[in-house]
Amino acid sequence: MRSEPPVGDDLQRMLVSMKQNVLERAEPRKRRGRRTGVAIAVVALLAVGAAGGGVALGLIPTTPEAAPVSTPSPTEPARTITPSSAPVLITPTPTPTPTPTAPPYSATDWSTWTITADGAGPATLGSATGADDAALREGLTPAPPLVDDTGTVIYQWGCANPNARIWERSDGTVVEIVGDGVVQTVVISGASDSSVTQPEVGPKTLAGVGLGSTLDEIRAAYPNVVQTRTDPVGGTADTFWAVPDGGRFIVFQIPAVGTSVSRVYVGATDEPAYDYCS
Amino acid sequence: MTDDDPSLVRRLVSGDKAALATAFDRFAPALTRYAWAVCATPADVEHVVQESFLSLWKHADGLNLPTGRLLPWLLAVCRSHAGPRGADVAGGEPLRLVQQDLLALPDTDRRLVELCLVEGRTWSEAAQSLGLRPGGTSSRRGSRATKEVQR
Repeated sequence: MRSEPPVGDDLQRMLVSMKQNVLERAEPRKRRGRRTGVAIAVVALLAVGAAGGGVALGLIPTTPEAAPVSTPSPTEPARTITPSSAPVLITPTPTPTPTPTAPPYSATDWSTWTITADGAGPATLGSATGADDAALREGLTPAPPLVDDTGTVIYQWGCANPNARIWERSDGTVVEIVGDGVVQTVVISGASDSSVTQPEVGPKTLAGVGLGSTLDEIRAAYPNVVQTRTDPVGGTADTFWAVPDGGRFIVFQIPAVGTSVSRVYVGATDEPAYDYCS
Repeated sequence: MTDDDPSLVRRLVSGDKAALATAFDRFAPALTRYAWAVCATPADVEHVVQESFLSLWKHADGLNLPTGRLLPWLLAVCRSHAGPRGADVAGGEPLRLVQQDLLALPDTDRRLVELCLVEGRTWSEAAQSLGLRPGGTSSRRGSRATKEVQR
């Protein structure tokens, strides 16, 4: 139209009318795929459970639709059976080489965070569950919970794995994966899994490697880097590159379709779970 | 704290109608201005804007947001709903009424909008021509695949 668009009250009236129409016509949407995915996961995990015991059960969320059974209440944190609960002989472990102290950072600007064997920025390995929340909240937003049509919360962090505490920002995600009441893994992800075309700004290691770094840059900074968890069949084609650091590992993930790091893990394993959210 | 676009999309995916209302409040003025430039009548404007948000609601769980921002996608969908009129029936510059909105976007998003709304490329074509790949919110968690939106 050649006329000028409406402004002021005219525009507001038009917007109110359109908004009302849109909200009336937007039909309640069923959760597509999620339930199917959970069902598949349950079947798969039960199959694994026959051999693997109850470890897998901790990953299965109790949905509101589930029939009451003699299990912990839905709000109880899933338990993970770990060797720490079993009697073990305490043997001295080598004292890890002290990691250089990370420089100060701004909680609101994750480009100032340093990835170390202790975590990244305010996300700290070994912190009690929730202890980092206040600091993380300064620069990130908790992932919204997944709710059903009645408003019942299904996944508090919008993720089927209740141990994955997901924090979002416009250009990336920070995930704290907890177990036994403490943060065991920190995951830093960019805005896209395929950081092909544009370098990503985010936390870096003391050697300057992070989201958007290439494998050549990783190798140059860490000659001791090793490739881990190759999944030739049935797994991810992404590659994982682990740097040992004081008994822990910093693992860089490069997507199969990309040439640079899309995700960084810090934790006790050099083979992090590719799919931590289901 | 105000939802950023990825957070908003996650709420839309979960079926949260309040998120749709938030998205409307945030983006409808810009879409209305754009539609005003390319539609023949106010009724047409209302139609394409409303249909654009209903498309957002319908396709929220499969959005291809290579930059993570919603406005370019919504503008492209708006143009699609405007049909041939999206080329600007007035014969003028179709983006003339949303210049300020575009200036607030990063260069890549602005270019996406131009390719779709001025040059008539499809969303996928525009993204590919800029070397962008499907990404955005839904691919960040675990192995959840990102799906292309077929328009």
